[in-house]
Amino acid sequence: MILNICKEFSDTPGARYKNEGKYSGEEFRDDLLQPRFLEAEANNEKLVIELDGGYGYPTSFLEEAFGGLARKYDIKKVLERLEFVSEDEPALINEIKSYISSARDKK
Amino acid sequence: MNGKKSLFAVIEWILLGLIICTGIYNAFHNDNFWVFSLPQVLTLLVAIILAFGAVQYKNDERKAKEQAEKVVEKIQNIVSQKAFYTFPINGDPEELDKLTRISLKKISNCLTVLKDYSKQFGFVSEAEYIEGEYKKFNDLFSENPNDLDYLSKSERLLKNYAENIDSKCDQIIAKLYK
Repeated sequence: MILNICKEFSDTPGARYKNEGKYSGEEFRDDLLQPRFLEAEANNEKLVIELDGGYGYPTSFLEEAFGGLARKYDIKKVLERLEFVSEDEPALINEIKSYISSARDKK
Repeated sequence: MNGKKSLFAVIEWILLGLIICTGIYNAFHNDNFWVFSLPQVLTLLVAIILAFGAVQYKNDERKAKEQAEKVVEKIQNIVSQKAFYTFPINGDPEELDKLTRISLKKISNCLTVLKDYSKQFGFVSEAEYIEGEYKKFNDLFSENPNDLDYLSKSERLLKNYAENIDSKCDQIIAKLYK
């Protein structure tokens, strides 16, 4: 199962929260990432996140999207279920995994 | 500098000429010149291989340093441009957003390569420092990538991060050729 952020969401993802503008990390997580993650879980398959094609990802977008998912569904589960592809900016993969690994409950 | 290079070139050619002349002389006047024992041949072969290996290693190291320097200069070319950290209040927010993201992506990719070189040439702490300042810049920009009012007010801070990166790049280049 593949989720291409640039094609299915935006080539210029926004800030962290919905109230900060369009294409936020929160919006991406709620509308696309979470449903696909649950579908991948139900089918017991990997969800491949394709990061290429866009202009770049704000750090707050990535943290809210993927860190937020890990806060909701458990870090280990998210790390096992998601796979990342990033030829344009390879360092993004480790960056996202670090957001997932260090996800904490937000107050 | 050119005079010195020319002098060395002349000396090299003179030495080469002397060696060739000596070889030719011995070939015609020394009956034992072409008589080799196996240990002599092996010794000569080992010496040639080692000398070749040493020269190649130095060449490869020099080329790698030149490549590392190019990567550092790529980063400097980006961060030293005013357009990187300046967001005019009357600018096109979407256009400025895209341009900044492209620049940040380029720096990120340069850093990936630079970290490998840093282990090879001993500037790990400098590379980590640059990564830290880059991350601060990226985090600050990312909070409100389309808000020119916010970004223009943050210019001083963004400029500070950019200049810190630029200065540290200078230190890396100095270290490469120490």
